[in-house]
Amino acid sequence: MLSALSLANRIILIAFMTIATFVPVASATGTNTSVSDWLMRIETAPEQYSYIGSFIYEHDGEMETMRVAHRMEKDGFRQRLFSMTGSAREIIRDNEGVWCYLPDKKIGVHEYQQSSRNNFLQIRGEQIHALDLYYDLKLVGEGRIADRSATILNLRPKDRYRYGYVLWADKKTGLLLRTDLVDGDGEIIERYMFVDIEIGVDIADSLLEPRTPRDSLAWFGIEPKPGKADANGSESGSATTPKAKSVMHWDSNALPPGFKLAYSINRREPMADKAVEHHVYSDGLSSVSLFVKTSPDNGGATGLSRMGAVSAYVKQIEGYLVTVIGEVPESAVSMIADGVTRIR
Amino acid sequence: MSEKLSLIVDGEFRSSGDERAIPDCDEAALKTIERYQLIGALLRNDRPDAAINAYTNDLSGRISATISAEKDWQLPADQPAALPAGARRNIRRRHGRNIERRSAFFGGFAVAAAISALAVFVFLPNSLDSTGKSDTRTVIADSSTSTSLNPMNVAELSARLVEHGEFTGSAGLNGLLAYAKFVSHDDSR
Repeated sequence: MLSALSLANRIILIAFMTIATFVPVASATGTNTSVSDWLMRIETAPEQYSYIGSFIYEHDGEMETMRVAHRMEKDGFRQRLFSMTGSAREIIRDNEGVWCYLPDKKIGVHEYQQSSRNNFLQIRGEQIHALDLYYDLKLVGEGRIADRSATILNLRPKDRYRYGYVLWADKKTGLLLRTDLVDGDGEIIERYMFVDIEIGVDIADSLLEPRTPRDSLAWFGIEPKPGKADANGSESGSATTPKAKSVMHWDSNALPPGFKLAYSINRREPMADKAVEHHVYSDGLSSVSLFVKTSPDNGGATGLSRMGAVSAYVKQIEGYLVTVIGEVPESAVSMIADGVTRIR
Repeated sequence: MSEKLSLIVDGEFRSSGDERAIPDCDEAALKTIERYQLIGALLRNDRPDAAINAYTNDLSGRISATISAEKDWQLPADQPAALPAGARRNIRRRHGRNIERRSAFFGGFAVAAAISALAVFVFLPNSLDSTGKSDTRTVIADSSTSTSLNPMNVAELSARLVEHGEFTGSAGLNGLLAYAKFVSHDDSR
């Protein structure tokens, strides 16, 4: 057919097809693909760029200042997070684990990551296109953060089971420069914002080294066993098809709209050597964890609690301690906790 | 062995009649006890100097110190204990009058719990009780007007929060904010 068209018409047709490829088109679910594309950019940007900068973190009427250096390497990343106020606490982390330097306590703690990396990237990638069922997604304009141009996204919840987000993403790279976590009334619950940042720069080794000498601290922690997560618990799952159902003994039959089982992992509490069943439910943006373990004899208190944006619900079922926790409103953790049942 | 260690750190050792097992502990087991004790001290927000000194000094002395410290912690609240008065006041103020009865239990938490408890994500209960009943009032995070959870709950919830942090995407930047919460905390503030 193409050969039957005039050269001019062929050029017009090719131009139209090219444009159509890049113009956002509403999906069958009505997803605003522009916002979705931005969310994917935001999610993947930390895997692509090295950066160094300072940011503030506001919560519960407090404001902290921190500095972060993040270097992408051939087989992963290395990051140093350093408190600029108060005690000079710092964290070094990479693909393998986390090293916490606590000079105020004179100790260091090493923890390796029990789950594999980028879990949430996988979760969000699969669910991101259904987000507009549960959030009003809007590109609301442009702004300037840390002397960089930013695109502003407003993700407003459609119900009372999740918080909203206002995201400022760097126009050039997609890195998040500012995040406001807001409740249903638009009130800010938490905020973090870069005040200066350099993206795509070389990060010298010295910038990733801890300030506190390692030998000056008493170190505690555990080393990963061969096989990492497999040796210390099995993990499974994707947004829609959790694989190893055999690891699951518990589940919740009451999930807020849009939340699905996204991940399951059998953890070990390192020194207590107790198994903890951990499931993650997500709507593609917000996530909630369900933890189940044998209950201590005295049980401890149960009920609902909250810290900033984090809600938690603790209850006991048949001698097990059930904890539901996430950056969601209390109504969400209560609903999930009330639906927890033993399935095998 | 791990069961015995658990008994020790859970404050149930003496009632089990297993005291004779202490000398049979090997070096690794004793180290584990020490770690439990240090973690317990940290969870109680004690200055860890004494525990660290115990960790680095004579082995037998370390064990006797930690065991006797554990005894002190298990005294009923109305009996005198070997804790400095200031420390007792501070702990009472932070965690309530019954802290001495329950604190021996806290030592049993894992390193992960210690990490996160140090961050002191102070959960402020809406209506935390032992029956599981609760209301849904929104509580503004103001420690001067709210009752904090006891340290055991804080440790448990904080540990779970850190583990949940591996999956949270809300902070962006690969969960950076989950660790920022930890780094930003400072007891002295």
